[in-house]
Amino acid sequence: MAFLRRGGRRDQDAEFVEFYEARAAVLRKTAFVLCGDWHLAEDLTQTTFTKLYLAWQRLDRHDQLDRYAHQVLVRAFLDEGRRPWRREHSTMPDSPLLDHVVDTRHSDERDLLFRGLAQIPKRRRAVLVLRYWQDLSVDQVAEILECSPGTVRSQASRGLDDLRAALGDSLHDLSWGGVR
Amino acid sequence: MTSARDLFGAAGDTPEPPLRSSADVLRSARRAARRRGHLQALLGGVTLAAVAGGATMLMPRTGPMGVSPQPAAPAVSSAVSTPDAEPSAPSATSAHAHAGSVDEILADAVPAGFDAEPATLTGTASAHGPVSFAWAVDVAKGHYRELSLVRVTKAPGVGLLMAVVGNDGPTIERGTDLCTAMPTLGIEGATNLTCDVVDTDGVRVRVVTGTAGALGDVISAVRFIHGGYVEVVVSQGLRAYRQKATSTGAIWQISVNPAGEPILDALPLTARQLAALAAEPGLLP
Repeated sequence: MAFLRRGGRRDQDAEFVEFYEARAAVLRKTAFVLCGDWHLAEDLTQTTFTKLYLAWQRLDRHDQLDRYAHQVLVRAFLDEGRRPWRREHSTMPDSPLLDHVVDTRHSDERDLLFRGLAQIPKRRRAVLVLRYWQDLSVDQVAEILECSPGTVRSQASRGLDDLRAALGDSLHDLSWGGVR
Repeated sequence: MTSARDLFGAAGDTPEPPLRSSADVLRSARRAARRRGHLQALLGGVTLAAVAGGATMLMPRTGPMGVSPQPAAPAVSSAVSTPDAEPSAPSATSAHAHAGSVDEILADAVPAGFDAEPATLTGTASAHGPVSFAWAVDVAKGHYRELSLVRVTKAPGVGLLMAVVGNDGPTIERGTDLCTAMPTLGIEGATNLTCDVVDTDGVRVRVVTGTAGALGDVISAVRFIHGGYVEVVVSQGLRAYRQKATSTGAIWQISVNPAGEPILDALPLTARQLAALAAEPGLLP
């Protein structure tokens, strides 16, 4: 997928829309895995795309947009966690965008995952999600989180320990595969 | 044995709500860009006026939010110190006792063409006149925040003007960049667009502008005092607060337009007007 700068606001908007339609769903899903809340995930996604739009002219490497978008998204998520007040329902009541997810399927593993993730410190959670949900390399995660690869490895290791502890007997044999 | 990747793979089949349309997202992004451009131009003009002749008045220009321009103070560097003359944060009891006066100051600051009425934390009009709310941010440290809220209406829109007095502020040393001190205070959830420090009659006020989706545009003006802060926030939409009990204790939750009321067409106050309001001595006991 190529996003080439063509110049002019109309072209910029077209590029922006193209990128949104191609990547918004993935980013919002990542946001949801991070926070476990579709309302907040929608907010984080909007924040991410607003910041992308504001920075669009400065983004020389549009082939790097996806990584930059993830960086903005994760920072927004971490910032949200530092706020003393938690945000809820930023959309209008009865918004058709939300509140209509009725999950008739059942996934024990998924329930376990979200329950466990909610108990892990946010930065470690971000490392786990980028490593195991996004399947990014240690170096890529380090770049997004602006830390060293060693920090990513140790945070991933501790995060898996946290996850194992949070899940208790539910998933006592969670492997360490891929941490190193 | 379940691998971490297998476990995370289970998240892949989570059902999703429909995605917001690209037109909607683009509209919000364009609006944020316009807002930032207007405010940068405005604040740049203030700096220019100050450099050119130490002037404390701006040449008239159309305000970015559709409100007539007001006399402005020159912008200064955000790296400032808290003057020794700054007052100290009041006690929680004192702040609460003074809250009625704060409500009146807020209501008086609302310009002609808008109506103002005291509001409850949940965003409804107060049936009992001015009312304020206090809570302990950190009981162990004795930290509190005192909130006074005013609904600002211009049919059919409803926005909010809010004052917060708290003693959970950061330590401001000489040279501290005020724009790094609690930058989302009072506007949590917004995308911050600009941050500047302005001087209003010798009082330095940190002004942050932002945009917050359904809440519309927001501006926060914070005066850092010894051991705390005084903040006023204006938003195009209505923010409401509630406490929710969780397994780990009560947390505050913020809702936007909880009753589905439309937001104001434009902010009722400019950034400079809000900065002047934050410097108002009457906000403190």
